[in-house]
Amino acid sequence: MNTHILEQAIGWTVRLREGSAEEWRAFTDWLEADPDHLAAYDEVQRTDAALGQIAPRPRPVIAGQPPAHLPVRSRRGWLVGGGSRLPPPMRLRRSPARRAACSLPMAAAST
Amino acid sequence: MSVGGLEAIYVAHRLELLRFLRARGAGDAAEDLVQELWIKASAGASGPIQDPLAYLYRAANNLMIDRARSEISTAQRNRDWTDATSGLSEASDAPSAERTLLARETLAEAARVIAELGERTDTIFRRFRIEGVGQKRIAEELGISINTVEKHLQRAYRALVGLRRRLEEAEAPASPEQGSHP
Repeated sequence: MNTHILEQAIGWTVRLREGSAEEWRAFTDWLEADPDHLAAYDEVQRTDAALGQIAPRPRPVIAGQPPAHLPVRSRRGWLVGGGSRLPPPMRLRRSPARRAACSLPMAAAST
Repeated sequence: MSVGGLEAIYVAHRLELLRFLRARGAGDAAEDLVQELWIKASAGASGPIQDPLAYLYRAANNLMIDRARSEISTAQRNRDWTDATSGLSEASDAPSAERTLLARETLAEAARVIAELGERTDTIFRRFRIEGVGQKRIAEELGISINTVEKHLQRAYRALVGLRRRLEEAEAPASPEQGSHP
């Protein structure tokens, strides 16, 4: 896989989190330009989606409200590394709000 | 925006969303998926949505992500990486103790890989991906440019993709490294 294409795919992954319709159209153009683009983007998404199951995806942006953030406790989440010895599922269980966020149907339409 | 308002946006941009789904690899399923997209998006739209078309695009993209994920688990491809999270999903079949252990090891390794990139990259990735803070706000918090934030996120994602590739190679039958853990 071409490194430059992988970088572009990561760039789209990062920017489309808060992307406008215009950016989504530009992304569509990019996907159509070369089949390797979709392959690279899919690879980044598979990697990213695996993380998404332990940390909920960002909620939809509701007009007039700041984006919902996770509890402060999550700052010591699994990615801190070397900190807590608790396995991730146990930490998830301690936070019903996060679990609820994971199971909301619209978690599927929010990144 | 009401669901009725969202529906008007959906109807007006249905062809555009179809084109996106096809570009995203939906193939013959694109027509079905655009319907499914509407059902999910309308069910989830409980409050006013800032940018309804972007919201529909995000919903379409997530539909493709979920679809790819379920196809992968069916095919038992990318086993290590998928195991890293399937054991944590309430919807999945109960994994064996061995598999759950493997999944935790893989998650710990992902955490190590990000930590090795340095504190700043670790912090920025955590803020962005785990805590859901936007690039712009992270840039403001740290007093750096949005481009710099993206550079750190690039490093983190590249490292995770690299880890994922190494795990896949370790899974390949020809690999002498199979089953070994450092």
